[in-house]
Amino acid sequence: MSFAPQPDHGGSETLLLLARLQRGDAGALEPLYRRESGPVYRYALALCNDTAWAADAMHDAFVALAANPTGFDPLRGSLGAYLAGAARHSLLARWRESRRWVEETDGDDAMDERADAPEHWLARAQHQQALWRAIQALAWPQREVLVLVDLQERNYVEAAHIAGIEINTLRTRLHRARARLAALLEAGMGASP
Amino acid sequence: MTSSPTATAPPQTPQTPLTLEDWRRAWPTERDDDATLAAMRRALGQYRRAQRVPRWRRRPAWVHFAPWFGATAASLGLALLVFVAQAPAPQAAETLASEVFVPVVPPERWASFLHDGTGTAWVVRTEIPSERLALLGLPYDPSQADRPQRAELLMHANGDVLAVRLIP
Repeated sequence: MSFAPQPDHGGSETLLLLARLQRGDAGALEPLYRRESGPVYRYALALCNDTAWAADAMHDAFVALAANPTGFDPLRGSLGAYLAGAARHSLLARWRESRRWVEETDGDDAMDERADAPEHWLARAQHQQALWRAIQALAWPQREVLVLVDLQERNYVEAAHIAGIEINTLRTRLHRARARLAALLEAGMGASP
Repeated sequence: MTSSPTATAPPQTPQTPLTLEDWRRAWPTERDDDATLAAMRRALGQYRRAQRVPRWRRRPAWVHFAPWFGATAASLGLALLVFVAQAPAPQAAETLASEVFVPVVPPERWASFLHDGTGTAWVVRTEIPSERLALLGLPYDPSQADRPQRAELLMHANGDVLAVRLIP
């Protein structure tokens, strides 16, 4: 399954660009931006479903990196994960400011038996539009882990790091997200109006 | 959020993806790219300027908290002053010295010390052989003569032992 361009998991080229950035070399900005902006933007877009907000979140993440290039520690994860985490932080801050933030629960244990592998719920979706609508209907925490793991194909460690949760929590949340998605698709939630 | 794309640009055409395929192909607009890259260059410029400042001239982090620390210290100082002002007057140091220590110098010498003020002497904690108690004119038990006795000596600035306090 290949849904999104893969983020750079600490490739040597990225590290070289970062080293240049830490020395204050402005020439490293654009190559780094071109390498990482797409996945970060799509991650934010999947969470908020708003292009303007996604662009702002991505913007904030990259500007934070340029303002303090030494803030990223390659030993703690990939640059993509670091930027995604910064974008997430920006989105949440804006959400809270605008009072659109609602604490949504992971809940619904009854759905667990429908928590299949992504291939199954993809197969169930009659078309991509229905699937996207169903993903957007998920609660924020569930949508986030689904996007990180199933759509952006990040490993559990990285996804948990970005979401700021334990790996076991991520597993549980992902399981429920898949079950909830399957239920939504079955109920025709994702169907066109 | 500083000079973000949406803060400076007119409203964009809605581009919210309608399908998963749209999302897969989603990419920041050229305007987003330009705005973000420009902001990154500005931020990096500030970072470079900060790096150029010698380390010894950079403000340490605690400077930002200095007003808070100052206010706290002033409040604590004021509270301490109020506490001290309300506390009962301390017993005269001379009285305390007389009550606690047993003088081992002639009464005139002791009176002279008290007259000069207790600031001319200090207390030294030590252990002395019990038999020395007799030499100082203090009672002692001959059967315990070989045992050291813990004591505090009131030593004058000139080295004289003025008084002794035995510690049980």
